Amino acid sequence: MSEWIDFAVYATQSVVLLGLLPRQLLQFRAPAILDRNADWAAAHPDAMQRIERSRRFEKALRVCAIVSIGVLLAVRLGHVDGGLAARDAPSWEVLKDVHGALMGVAVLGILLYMLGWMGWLRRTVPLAARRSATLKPRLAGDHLSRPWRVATDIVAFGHLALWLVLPAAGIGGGAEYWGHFASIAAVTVLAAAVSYLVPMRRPGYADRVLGEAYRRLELRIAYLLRLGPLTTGAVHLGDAFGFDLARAGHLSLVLLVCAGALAFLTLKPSRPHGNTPPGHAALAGTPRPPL
Amino acid sequence: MEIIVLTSSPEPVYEQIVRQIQDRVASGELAPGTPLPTVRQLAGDLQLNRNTVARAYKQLEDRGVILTAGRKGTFVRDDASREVERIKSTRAARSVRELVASLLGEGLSRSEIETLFDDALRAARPKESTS
Repeated sequence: MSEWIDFAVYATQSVVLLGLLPRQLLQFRAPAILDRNADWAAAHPDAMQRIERSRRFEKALRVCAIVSIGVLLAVRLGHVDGGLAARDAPSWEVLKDVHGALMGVAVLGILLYMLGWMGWLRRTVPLAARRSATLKPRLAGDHLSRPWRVATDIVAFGHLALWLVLPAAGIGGGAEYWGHFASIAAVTVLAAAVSYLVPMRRPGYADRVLGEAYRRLELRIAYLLRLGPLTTGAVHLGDAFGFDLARAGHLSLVLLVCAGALAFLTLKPSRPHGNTPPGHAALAGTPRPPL
Repeated sequence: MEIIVLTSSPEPVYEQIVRQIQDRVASGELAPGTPLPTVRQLAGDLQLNRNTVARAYKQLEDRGVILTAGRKGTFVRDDASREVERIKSTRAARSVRELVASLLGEGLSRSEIETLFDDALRAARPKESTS
């Protein structure tokens, strides 16, 4: 398989996460303020305009995306060895590690920016006195039907059962095998716990701005990511059968993350309807019912 | 179906929650057996301390409006609307007794109080028919 395919997958992830995602995140700044306190927004039109016009975050990450793709291209063309030539790694692995390091720094930057933004919001915009909530309990079944949830459980835990059964058939076994099994089992259980907790999670700004669509997508992505350990499992089991699936497995995971991010890009701030989470009345400027 | 609280209101927040759930039970919006959100969910949505919502739920449970069935969740009791009506009429009777005592204390006679009540009822009737 040509390393250009690896390069294309990594470049796609850079474009999605550093080029497209920031724009999506920025469009929620004003709704987040309106959700927290619509009166504050009305009293500070200059601040609101300044916030809506600011594009520094978006531009900075676009530069990161261009630099990231440039470095990957340089590594691919052999102009830069990524500092990893000394360990005699194959070129696709050098590309993978360089991309991982670049994305790690960029994602850390995004997280720091978001933390700074949330801190500013809490310090500057006081929480509105009027708050609303739905009286309908949230359940996993509201967003993902039972057959899909059961099928995911069967596949995820069936995969673990396969790992337990194979040594009895003379495949695998040994300290390394059980070490891989332990790490895969831990990730499987953690991913399952996350998917069970999503419906109960305390709502954040994204829930209030995007409505139930956000939690629905989050739950579906959580169930999709429960299939991640299968990729890792397939790579290790492939080793046991004499197949090298490490590269294909890693590229699949990168594409899985891209798919999740692209699904998030489809979300838009929603108008109020029945059973809306808090803040929608303020967001849409609907009249407030008296208490 | 939404619940709305106003933290700046002189009425304590937990009482606002109790009152609104009772009103919805009385109006039939919350039918017997309807599941309610968990304390954690409601507190999270309203951005309140969990103890505030837990206190409201405890009061509703003590009044026989809701039933907490362990891990199954919290539900509106089968006889909740009857309980709510009883609470409302008890509260109304207490308010009327206090008002009558106050009016008697101000020196009004029984017939004067009856006239005042009749007038108030007549004045309220058109509003009732429009609501």
